Amino acid sequence: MKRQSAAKPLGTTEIILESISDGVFTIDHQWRITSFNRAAESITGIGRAEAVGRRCSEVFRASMCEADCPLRRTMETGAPVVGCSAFIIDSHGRRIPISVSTALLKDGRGHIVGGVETFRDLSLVEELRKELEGRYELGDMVSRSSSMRRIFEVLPQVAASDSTVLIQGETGTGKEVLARAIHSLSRRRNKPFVAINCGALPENLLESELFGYVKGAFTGADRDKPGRFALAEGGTLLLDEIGDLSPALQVKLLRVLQERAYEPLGATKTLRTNARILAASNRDLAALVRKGEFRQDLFYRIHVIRLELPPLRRRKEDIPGLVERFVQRFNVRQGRGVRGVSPQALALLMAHDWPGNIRELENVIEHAFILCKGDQLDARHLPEALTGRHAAVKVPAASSLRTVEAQMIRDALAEHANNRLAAARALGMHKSTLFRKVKALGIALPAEDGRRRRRR
Amino acid sequence: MKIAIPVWQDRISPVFDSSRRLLLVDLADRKVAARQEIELGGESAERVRRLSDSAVETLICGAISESLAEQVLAAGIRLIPFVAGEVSEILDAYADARLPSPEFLMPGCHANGRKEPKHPRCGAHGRSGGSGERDAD
Repeated sequence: MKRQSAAKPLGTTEIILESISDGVFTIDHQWRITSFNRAAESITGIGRAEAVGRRCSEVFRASMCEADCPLRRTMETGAPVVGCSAFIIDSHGRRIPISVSTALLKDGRGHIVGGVETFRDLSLVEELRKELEGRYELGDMVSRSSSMRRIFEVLPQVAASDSTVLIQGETGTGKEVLARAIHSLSRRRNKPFVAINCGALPENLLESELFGYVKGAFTGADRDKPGRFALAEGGTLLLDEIGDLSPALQVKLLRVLQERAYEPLGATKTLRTNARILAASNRDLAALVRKGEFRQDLFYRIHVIRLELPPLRRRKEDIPGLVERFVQRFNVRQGRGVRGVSPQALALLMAHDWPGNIRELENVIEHAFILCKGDQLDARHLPEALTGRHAAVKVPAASSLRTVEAQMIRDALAEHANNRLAAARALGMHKSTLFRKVKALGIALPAEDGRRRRRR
Repeated sequence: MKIAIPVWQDRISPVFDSSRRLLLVDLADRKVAARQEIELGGESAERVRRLSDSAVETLICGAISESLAEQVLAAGIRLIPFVAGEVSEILDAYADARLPSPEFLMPGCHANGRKEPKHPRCGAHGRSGGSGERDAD
C-alpha cells in the first residue's frame, strides 16, 4: 500500500474520485474551483474544463450559496458539515435536490489549502420515496384522502380539454396550486400561466390589468401595456376570486368567454384571445347568482367543469404528509436539517380546525422552524393559537387524534372489503401495527377477513 | 428603461431563486440615471411581484429555475438569465447593447446557434412574453 501510494499517489486518488457517484469539487482560498470530478460534471451538466478556475457559486449555483454556504462555515470554523439539503440549478434551469457535505482540504504538512465539497443528487431518492409512500401526487399537490383522489383522477382529462374550469374551495385550500397543476398537465404547459386576483384590485385598475391599455388611454399611460389576457396568450389565465368581479366587468368577461374578443382601454381595435380560462372562488357562486350579485349567464359559462377542493379539516389524514412536505421545503429553503415533528406537536396539529387551511398549516410550520433550534419541531414551537387550546382541552386534542386515526382505519378497511393486509398497506403501516391499533382504538373487526382463503 | 440585477458581493447573485438583494437601475441615454437597492425574499410569486411593483422592464440575473423564469416572462419582463460577472461590468455591457454575450455567461452555458427553446436556459436568452414577440407554437 505504502509503495503504491508513494509511486502514484494522485493517480489512486483520482481513480477513486472518478469512480464514485457523489459529486466532489475542491476550492482554493479565493473560492475558485481547483478540481471537479466526473459525477460533479454529470450532476451539474458542466464540464471540468469550464468549471476549474471559476467561482464555485457560479458553477455550483446552489440555493444556499449566498445566504448560508456550508463550505464557508467549514472554512471559518474548521468543522465539517454533513448532509445539508439544498437545490442547485443545472444548465437546463432544472432544480435538482441535493445533499451537501463539506470539509477542510489540507496538504501533506497539515496546512489548509482550501475546502472540499461532496454532493449527492437526491432526485431519484425523492421519486422512490414518493412511490414507497404510495401517495397520490400531482404537481405540487399531495394527498391520501379519497376526496382529493377523485380530483386527481379526473384531472388529466380536465387538463386535456380546453373548457373553462371553476375551482371552488375555502381560502388556503390550494386553488392556485390546482390551477397550476391543470396548466402543467395540459398541452399549453410550455406557454405562460398567468394568475390575477380579481378581489385584490379596484375595478378600474383590474380592467386595465385584465385587458391592457394603449398609449394615451389615460394620464400616465405613456406606453402600450399588454393585459393579462395578452400575457396568457396560448397559455392559461386564472381569474382568482371571480366572485368579487363588479357587474360591469362581469359583462366584459362574459363577452371574452363568448366571443373570445376584447378591447384594451383606449384601443379602437378588437383583440382576440385563445388563453384558457380557469376561474376560482372561495364564495358560493350559485348563492351569489341567487342573490343577484353574480350574472347567471356568466356563471353557466364558467361552470362547465367544477372542481371543489375540500377544506383541510375534512382531509385531516393529509396533515402528516403535508407537514412532512413543508418540513422538507423549509429544510431546503433555509439549509436546515429538521427531521420532523414530535408526536405531541403532531397531535396538536391534528386537533386544530385549520380555518386558513393548507396555507395556515404552512405558516405554522414556518413559525415552528423559526423557534426551533434543534432537529425536531415540538409543541412548544407551535403558535399560541394551537398550544393555548391544548392547555385548556388537553384530552380532546389527544382523543380527536384517536378519532381521526380510527376513522382512517375504518375507511381503509371498508375500501378494501375488510382485507386487513390491503388496508394496512394502503395506510402505509405493517399488518401487526394495524392489529395493534385496531385493538387499542377499540375498532370492531368483522370475523371474516376480506382476503381470499387459500385452499388447503 | 428600468433594469433589475440581483446582487451579491458586487457580482450578479448566483441564483435568482434565492437571492436577497436586488439592484434597480434607471438607464437614460445609456447612462445610469438612478440606482436603488431593495431587499428580496419569499417564493417565486413574491419575487415576480417585487419586479412588477418596481416597474422593471428587464431582469439580468444568474441561474434561474425554469418555473420562475416562466413567471418572469409571463409578467411581461425581458429576461437575460445565466449571466455572471461584476455588476459594474454587466451594467456597462448592457448599456453598450453587448448583452447577452458569451463573455458573461455562467460556466456550462453556450450561446450556440440553435433555435431558441421554449424555456429560457443557459445560452438561450428569453424574451418578453407580450406584444406579439412570442414564437408560434
